[in-house]
Amino acid sequence: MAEPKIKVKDLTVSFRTNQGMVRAVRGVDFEIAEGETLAIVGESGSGKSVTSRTIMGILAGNGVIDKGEIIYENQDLTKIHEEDFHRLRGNKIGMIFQDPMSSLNPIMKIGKQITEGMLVNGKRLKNREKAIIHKIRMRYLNAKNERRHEVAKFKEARKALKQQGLTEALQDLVEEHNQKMLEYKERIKKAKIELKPARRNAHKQVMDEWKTEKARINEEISRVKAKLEGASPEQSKAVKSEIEDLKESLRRFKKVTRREATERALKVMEEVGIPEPKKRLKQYPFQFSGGMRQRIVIAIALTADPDVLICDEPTTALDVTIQAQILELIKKLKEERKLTVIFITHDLGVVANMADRIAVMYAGKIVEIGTAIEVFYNPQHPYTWALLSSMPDLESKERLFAIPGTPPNMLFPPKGDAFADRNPYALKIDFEKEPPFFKISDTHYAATWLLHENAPKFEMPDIVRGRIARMTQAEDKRSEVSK
Amino acid sequence: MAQETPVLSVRGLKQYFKSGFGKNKLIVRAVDDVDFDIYRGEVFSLVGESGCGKTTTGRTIIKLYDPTDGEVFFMGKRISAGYLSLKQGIKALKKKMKDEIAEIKKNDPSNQDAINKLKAETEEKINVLKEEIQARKEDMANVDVDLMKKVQMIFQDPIASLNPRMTVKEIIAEGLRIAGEKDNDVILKKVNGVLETVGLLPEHASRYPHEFSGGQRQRIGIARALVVSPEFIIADEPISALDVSIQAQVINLLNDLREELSITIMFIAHDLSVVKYFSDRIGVMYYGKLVELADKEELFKNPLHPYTRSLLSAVPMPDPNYEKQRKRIKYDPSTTHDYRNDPPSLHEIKKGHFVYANQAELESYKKQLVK
Repeated sequence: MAEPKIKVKDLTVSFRTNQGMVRAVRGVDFEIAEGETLAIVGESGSGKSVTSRTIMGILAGNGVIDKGEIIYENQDLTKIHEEDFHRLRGNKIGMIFQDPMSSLNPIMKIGKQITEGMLVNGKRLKNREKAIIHKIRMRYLNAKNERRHEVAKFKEARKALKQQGLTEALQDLVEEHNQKMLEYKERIKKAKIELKPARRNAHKQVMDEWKTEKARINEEISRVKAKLEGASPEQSKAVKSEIEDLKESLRRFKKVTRREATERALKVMEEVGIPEPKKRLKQYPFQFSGGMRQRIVIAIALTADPDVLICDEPTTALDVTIQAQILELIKKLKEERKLTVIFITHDLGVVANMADRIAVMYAGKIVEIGTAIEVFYNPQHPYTWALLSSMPDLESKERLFAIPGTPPNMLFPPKGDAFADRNPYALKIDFEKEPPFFKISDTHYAATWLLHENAPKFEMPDIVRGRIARMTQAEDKRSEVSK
Repeated sequence: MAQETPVLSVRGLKQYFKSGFGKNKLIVRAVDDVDFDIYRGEVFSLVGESGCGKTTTGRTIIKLYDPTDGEVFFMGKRISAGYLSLKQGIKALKKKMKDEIAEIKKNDPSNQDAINKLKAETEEKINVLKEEIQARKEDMANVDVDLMKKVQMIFQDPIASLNPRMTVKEIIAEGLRIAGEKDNDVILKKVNGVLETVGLLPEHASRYPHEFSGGQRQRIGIARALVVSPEFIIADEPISALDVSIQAQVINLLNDLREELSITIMFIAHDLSVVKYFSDRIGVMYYGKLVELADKEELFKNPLHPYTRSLLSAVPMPDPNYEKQRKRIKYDPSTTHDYRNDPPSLHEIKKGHFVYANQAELESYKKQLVK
């Protein structure tokens, strides 16, 4: 496999609450190759949304990344500065949310909502200035950031030493810390001094560029204007529009103009299949049906040309026909724009359509990961079995398997396998020790003790086995027909 | 399975919603001329996309709305009726009378006898209609509590449909109290009994809805419907708002209840795999019309109406190989049908299989059936 687009390593996320730390994500590992679709499946509260939000960098205020890395384009998204993240979020990594009604502003026209992001991010001169001084600025900001982390680390160490009562070590520590602080102070000061003239120079450079461009355009305009004398009305009309275009191009040099943004919005709206986009631009969200609203949310995400798209249950609020349309749309966009997609859902039927690979999550951990075919035709983890057998398909007649009990309280994560309490196949070891990942094939892993060589042999439940047999039969029939 | 006496029959049910005045006036035909019967002990499902009027049908049957037109019979007694068509009938009769009188006057101005006779005849006809309107109004006004409590409803959203300031016991007992039960001991006994039936414990009775998980809340909703021992339950998307693993719990519970208490259920949903699993007969609705109605096996084997086909082709399946080859059929009523000369209606094309079509379409559907 080529270098993965996004690599998540041992990601652990908790939320501070009054009751204590809620362990929402507990060590998640996965990789997504470019142009691939990874589906994350699980019950509500299994940590699938939190994982995606961490990748987007939009965790709630009380969320803490305890450890782990998210590698995207050789940067660790958990460590980079907020300033750097601004350039990725939305621009490189886009997101579609679950409920289109609550992610759109009800009192703002659709056109404005789609163009808003482009206009806000579209101050071209300023952006250029920022880009020129970015490196120097980041040096300054990073130094500050590092100092903050250093102080936090020092305080913790001091507390620990104080509790142990080691006064000598404490003194050493304080001294060392003071030394470091001095170094930091020097570094920050230097960076700040460097920053000021750089900023001035950048501003001057950009303004110069702007002035030359302005002069060039003005010259052109005056040349075109010369044609105006003695021209027929039709010719003068053409000349006037030419002048208008020149003026517009000058404005566009400065910033993304409203006209430019609207043009782009119309193009994207057409791409996501909204009929009569011109008329639709002037309407409010309540004038759209559920499916159309979801299309607009997708359009907003696409205006910035992201290369990773995170879809957080985009079809849960929609009915079957609309759901199928939206899924087809996402699939089409994915192929046209070569998007890498992370698709989050609790509906296994939807997943079968979309995903190249599937990760099943439970209680903040991935319990099974594999290609779509492997997970559906050869599921190994009891939780995957339970999920599969709890939903009827068009052929099933037997009693559905309802997973007993409720998901564990993540304030006190269970010691062994988190699913053991609700698992009819649980072994004794499941309650004591967490199962590691067992390899089934190169791409297929599952975390259950049932796969250990010493484990007693279990057959998967009848419902799942019956369904797989039916699917295999249907597949054979189809291949016969195609022959 | 299905016996011949319908528990509930719906005849020509219409539910219109009006909004605006003058040139802004808008009439939404949420349910437009729907007929069906539901037999004892069966599960009848209504499916369709959101906004097609399936929920409105359910709510009109249970008299949460006053129907615009049509009748609803429960156990042979009319429980709900509207009279728009009768009113229109009176108007038409009056207009016809006026035209005819003008005609007579033009031919022979002195023929007063003929005019009087015509007037009397029309008067009689109008009186019959007026009496019918009066009867329907009375039926709407006089609710037979003992009969109506045999029809109960389970709502979609278990969070919104339970009063957060009432304990579970109060929520469940409310129906009993309204039905006239005053003895606290009896109420407590019944509440505990019904809690057990839906798989909750008696100690849950004193708790509030927010203390329960989604699946348990939906159980409370079901218990509330069951406590007055109904014979007919309208379940309005009882599982759409629930998590996957909990959906199975609720479906299993409804299945058990139906077997143990022999309750007839009208199931409203948009998830076709659940509908196929759970129900006996299925009605497909599209924009206020019932477009197809058949046994579930028949419907899935021989879907005739193009909308049914497009709906079936959109069902997601947990099978990646199948999904790769899936072809969704698109349905666009403006190009598929030509109803200008030949208006459609609901026809029985095979025993128990109804489809909404005009004559020409009916012929082509019949050919498909033979094949």
